[in-house]
Amino acid sequence: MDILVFLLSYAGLFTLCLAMPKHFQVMLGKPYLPSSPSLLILKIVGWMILGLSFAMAVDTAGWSFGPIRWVGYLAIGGLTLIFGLPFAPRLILLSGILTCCGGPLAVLVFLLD
Amino acid sequence: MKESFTQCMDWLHTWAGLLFGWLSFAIFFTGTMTVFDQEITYWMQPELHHVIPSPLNVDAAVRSLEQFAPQAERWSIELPSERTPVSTIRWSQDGTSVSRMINAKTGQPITVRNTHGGEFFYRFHYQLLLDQAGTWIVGAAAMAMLAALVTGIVIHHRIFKDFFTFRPSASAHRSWLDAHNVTSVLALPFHIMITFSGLVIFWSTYMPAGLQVHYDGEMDGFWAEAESFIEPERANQPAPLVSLRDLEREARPYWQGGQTRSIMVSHPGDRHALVQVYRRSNDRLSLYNDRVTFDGASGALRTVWINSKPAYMTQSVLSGLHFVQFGGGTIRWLYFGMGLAASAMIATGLVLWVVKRQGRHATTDAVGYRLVEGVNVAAIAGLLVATATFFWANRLLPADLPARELRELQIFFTAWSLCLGHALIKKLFQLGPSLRIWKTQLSVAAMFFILLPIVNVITTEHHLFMTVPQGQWEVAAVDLTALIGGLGLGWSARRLDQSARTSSRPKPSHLVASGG
Repeated sequence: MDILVFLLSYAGLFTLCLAMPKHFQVMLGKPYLPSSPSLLILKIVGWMILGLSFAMAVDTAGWSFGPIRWVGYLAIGGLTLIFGLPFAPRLILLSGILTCCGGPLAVLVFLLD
Repeated sequence: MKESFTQCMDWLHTWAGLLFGWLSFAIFFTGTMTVFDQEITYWMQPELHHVIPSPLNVDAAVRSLEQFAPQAERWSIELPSERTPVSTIRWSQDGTSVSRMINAKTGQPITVRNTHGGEFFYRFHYQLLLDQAGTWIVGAAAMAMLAALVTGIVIHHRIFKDFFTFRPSASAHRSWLDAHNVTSVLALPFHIMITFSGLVIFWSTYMPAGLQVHYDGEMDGFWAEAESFIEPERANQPAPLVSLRDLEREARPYWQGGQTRSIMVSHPGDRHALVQVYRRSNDRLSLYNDRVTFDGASGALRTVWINSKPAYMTQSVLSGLHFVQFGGGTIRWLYFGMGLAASAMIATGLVLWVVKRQGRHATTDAVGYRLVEGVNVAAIAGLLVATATFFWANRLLPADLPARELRELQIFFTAWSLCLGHALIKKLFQLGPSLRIWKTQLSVAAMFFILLPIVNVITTEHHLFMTVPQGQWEVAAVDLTALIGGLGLGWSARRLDQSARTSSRPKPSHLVASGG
């Protein structure tokens, strides 16, 4: 389930990115600023998704390889997000929302399986 | 002048980064290529591409060795793996060592073109092809890299406030700084791990004092004790060698599910023959040479060497993390990606040194500044050009050319020198702006890489039109990576061209205001 680890790291970083006011505005393309409690919630959710991706990495690849893979996916996911953001903010927003919803759902399916 | 802590760190970061940056870029880039060293070597020997992978027939390999070198002092047989479908046999006799590739199933030797392949990137990566002296230079660069990483965290204190920030349309300084920070921060655990573990691999070279004192300068004594090597004396009485196939089978249970990497025989055919069977380290972090030793004449078990003390284990896990023999293709691609990020971090840092000083006219006219500008281009874009020509040389030089593997290296270094000459002449005689030189060399590299699959179509039968439909991805991946990398470089060259055009026009006021 390597792809899931990647998608979850991407989703987690995306949520943390959304929790920063300036990136929130860039992605939604308007000067609307959410309240600070909702930014805090985004931040907490982001860290939780990152935690979930770490757990998935360790679960699929074990304690020796899992963390290494996780760092790798985190770096690749983050680079995609950051270098994509200025060129296609809407695409990043869409892919971020999709992975945020799809990722944890996929983990649920994986756990129930 | 009393300077603040941050200013000191800034000074160290700037100058350690600049002086070792050119070298570090070469070390990191060749290291990134080394991740796929066996795959590159395999690609560079198209004679092997039609060989159907099969498990090793040990008896057939021994028959080949008996035929080639019955009098040899040492034999070794490397088993095929998922990365290399053929087996390699080696023998040493009268101080010279010879290696041949054989078909793993039949033991028949396969004639391949002479090439250093991926091994070249590996040798360059850790010793710049300079033996021991090179190891020391690379060690110094690694220390500078560690210092640059630590000072970088101190001086770029905005990295957390600016996390996720990349502004390609802001001022040149701003956007290069963003790119530098992003490539550094996101893969920071990798950068620190790879630099530190690289130093740890050569602990006995870089910090030999303890061993020298403890073993009275007899380093061989340490290795004999640490790895319990037995070097038998020749008895000079002939005795037939027992079946290596049986010994390999007997060793296998000690690997606990692992695979055998190689079999080594000292004094084959002698009564004191010794057989050592080694485990492959592809299924665990530790790069530890598990080994089972047998008496070659009787087949009796001599030693089993599969456990190490904690200190040695720590070192072998750290080396294992660096050498990345574990985890298969997935981890290798991740290392490749992070290695590219590390190379990009160094490259953007070097560019920043120049960009930061732009506009200060007193400096930009100075010879030193122009020298840095020129060497920057050659160290980064020039190395990419040289790498691409190395791949071309492998396909275009006749397969039976004498000293062929040296010609490939000559072409690599000639291309690199030409790039350096081009950049320096342009810069020192002020024949054009830096962006133009960057654009030229990046375009040349892009063209070489993009055309590599086409050269492969013309010169071999195993090109993309064959390898992709047949699912021969080990070969296709090299062509595809070259193609994608080339397109990326071409895109960068185009963007540089656009920014060169906009910067020659007067800047819009908001860009000037935000420029640093």
